[in-house]
Amino acid sequence: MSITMIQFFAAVLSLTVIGGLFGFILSVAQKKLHVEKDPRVEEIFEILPGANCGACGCPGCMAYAEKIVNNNMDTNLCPVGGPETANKVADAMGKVSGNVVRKISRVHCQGGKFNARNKFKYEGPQTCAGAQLIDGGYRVCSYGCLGLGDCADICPFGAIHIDERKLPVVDLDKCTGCGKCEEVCPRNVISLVPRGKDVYVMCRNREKGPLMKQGCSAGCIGCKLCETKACKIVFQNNTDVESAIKVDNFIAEIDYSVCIDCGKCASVCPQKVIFYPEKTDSGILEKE
Amino acid sequence: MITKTFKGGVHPPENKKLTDKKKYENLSIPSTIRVPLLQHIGKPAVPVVNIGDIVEEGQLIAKADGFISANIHAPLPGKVTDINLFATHMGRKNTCIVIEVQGNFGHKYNTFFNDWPSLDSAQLLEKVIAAGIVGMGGAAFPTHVKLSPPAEKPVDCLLVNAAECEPFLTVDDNLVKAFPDEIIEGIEITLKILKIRKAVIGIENNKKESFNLLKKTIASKNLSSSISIKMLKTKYPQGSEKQLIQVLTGRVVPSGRLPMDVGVVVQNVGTVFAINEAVIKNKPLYERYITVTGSAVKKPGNYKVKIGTPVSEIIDECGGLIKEPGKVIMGGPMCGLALSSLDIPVVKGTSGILVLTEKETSVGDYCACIRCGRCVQACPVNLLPLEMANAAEFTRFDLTDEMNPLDCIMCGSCAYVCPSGRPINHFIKLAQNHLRNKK
Repeated sequence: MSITMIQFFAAVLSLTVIGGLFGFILSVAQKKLHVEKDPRVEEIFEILPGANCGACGCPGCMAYAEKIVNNNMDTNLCPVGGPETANKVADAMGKVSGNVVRKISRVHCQGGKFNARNKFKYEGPQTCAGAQLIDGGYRVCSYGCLGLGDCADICPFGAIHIDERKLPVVDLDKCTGCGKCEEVCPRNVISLVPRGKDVYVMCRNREKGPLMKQGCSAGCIGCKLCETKACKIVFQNNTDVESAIKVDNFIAEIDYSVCIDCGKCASVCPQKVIFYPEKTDSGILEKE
Repeated sequence: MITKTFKGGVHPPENKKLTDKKKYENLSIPSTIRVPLLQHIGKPAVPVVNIGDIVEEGQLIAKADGFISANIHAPLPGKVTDINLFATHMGRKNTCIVIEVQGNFGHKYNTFFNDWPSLDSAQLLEKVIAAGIVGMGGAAFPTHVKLSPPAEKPVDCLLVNAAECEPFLTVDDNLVKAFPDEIIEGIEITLKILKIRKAVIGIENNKKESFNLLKKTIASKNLSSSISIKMLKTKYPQGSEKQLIQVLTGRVVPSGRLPMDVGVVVQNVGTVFAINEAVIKNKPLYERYITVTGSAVKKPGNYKVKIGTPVSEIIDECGGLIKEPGKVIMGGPMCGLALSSLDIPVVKGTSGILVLTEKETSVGDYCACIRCGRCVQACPVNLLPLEMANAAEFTRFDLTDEMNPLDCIMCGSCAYVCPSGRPINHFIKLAQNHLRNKK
């Protein structure tokens, strides 16, 4: 079927007219229905890192930007951006930013495939949350890492991987301290520790030494040597602080608000359960 | 005979032939027993004895803490040697009272009190509470809670669950065969506590002998006007509370509600028997009947055991193992819990111990869902197990939250029929936990 010249021009003309009409309606609508928007929201959103990790407590960076502007939320809640972002956001808002303590995820377990013993063979869904449902996890130790990688799966920054020991390893350069891993871990093996403090305890077992030894060869036995032979000596001239590391319920725990990161506790631990990197002048040497 | 049933369900091999003709035997007394303080749904009981105390058979050793809790009694006379955390069937370590058996067995519970009709409803209920009775079918919900419905929810019908739909188990079947008079009397007592006049017993049609026996007993006691008995189709999960209500009364328990909301109370036959013993003999619940079965055990049968006996001693008493076991399950094969250690003690809710070889238990990895829809057909509560499992597998709990995971009764029919061998109910459990934590 052939198209005549008249039909062709009629089609072009009618479409042009319809297009023009809709364009006119849209331009009128934009003027009439204009919504006043605070330009600072867009500005702050640009400053924020855009990871949408939710560490600030808001669902995404845009929501946080809106809450900073409209609800007067604090500007120092973004751990990903750190102090620089907090200061920039505070400047944009004409405020002074609060302190930002940059944190990092630490894995409080060194059991894994080689040290921790299993109760039974687990065949269900290969997630930590699933394994935790069956008899409280397949490891004899009911406090340690299950090694199925829920933390690695959820990390928005790809900072965690499960190594050959079946334990999560945190990449210190990539970790922003958003705390997603801490939230998802069914056994609370991961916690957030202030950046700059390199010492941490690699165990969470609250059982007496012999009971713990039934399940794992590398756990804290609660011998208190870190407290009595190291930390109390370091703080002996300090009247305010007795010791930064304390053994309660057969597990050593570090109070980071007073810890000076000297690493003496790690050197006396008979179970080698306190991690402290070898430090040289050029920087930190990570050791296993 | 017209048999009744519900939509969905599965037909696993019954495997009841191993033990269904075996009469009850007593097991010999263990030297030490470990009685967990949390054997029921609710708060753990609080111990009322100290280390070093000498206890008598049937003495109260732990008191119920609050309304939804249950008393616990010493199964054997002896000395309390330890109160500490031990592994139990719940998975997590729980506080147990350890009793080293010694002293005399007073035959305390051989006197009969047959004048129960003279007591009123509250006095009878008091005896049930004192005896620490919980649901004997497996879930172990404190019985006195079910027997005291609030005034705004009137109950008009008692259902007695003798279906025993789990494969392998024959404990309820044998209980009916051994004690038909006591069970019927227990139903009368329960009716009096609830102040109602109608009870229906439901029993699957693979237990004809028990059915006829109960029917004869009801007729001989002239109770046909108040207690009736109905035969059900043999299908799993016929003995599940909500399915049983639907089949026997035609009422449907709405999503998220209790049987009380439709005017029904369901009790297992084992519970009814325990109520009878508590009232007639004044005997607390410290021993129960269980089925020990499976192809790996030498002498499968039905046994009377004391609460707190370790599973390892029971298996030894039954002739030990003849094959390398793959799984030891407490309860039935569909709803039971696999044990991680044989030191775990028997509790009030243990209906059986199942020793299966590795060949009989499904071993191996699961594959992706092929969307065949068999689980939807099998689901007795009209859920979409495949959709829920697939979403939960990839932690999309925002999707599962809207699929009513809490209506799932964890019967495992979906996982049983799944050709990909997917642990569907395990995934649904994850979805349930997510929703419960959110609330």
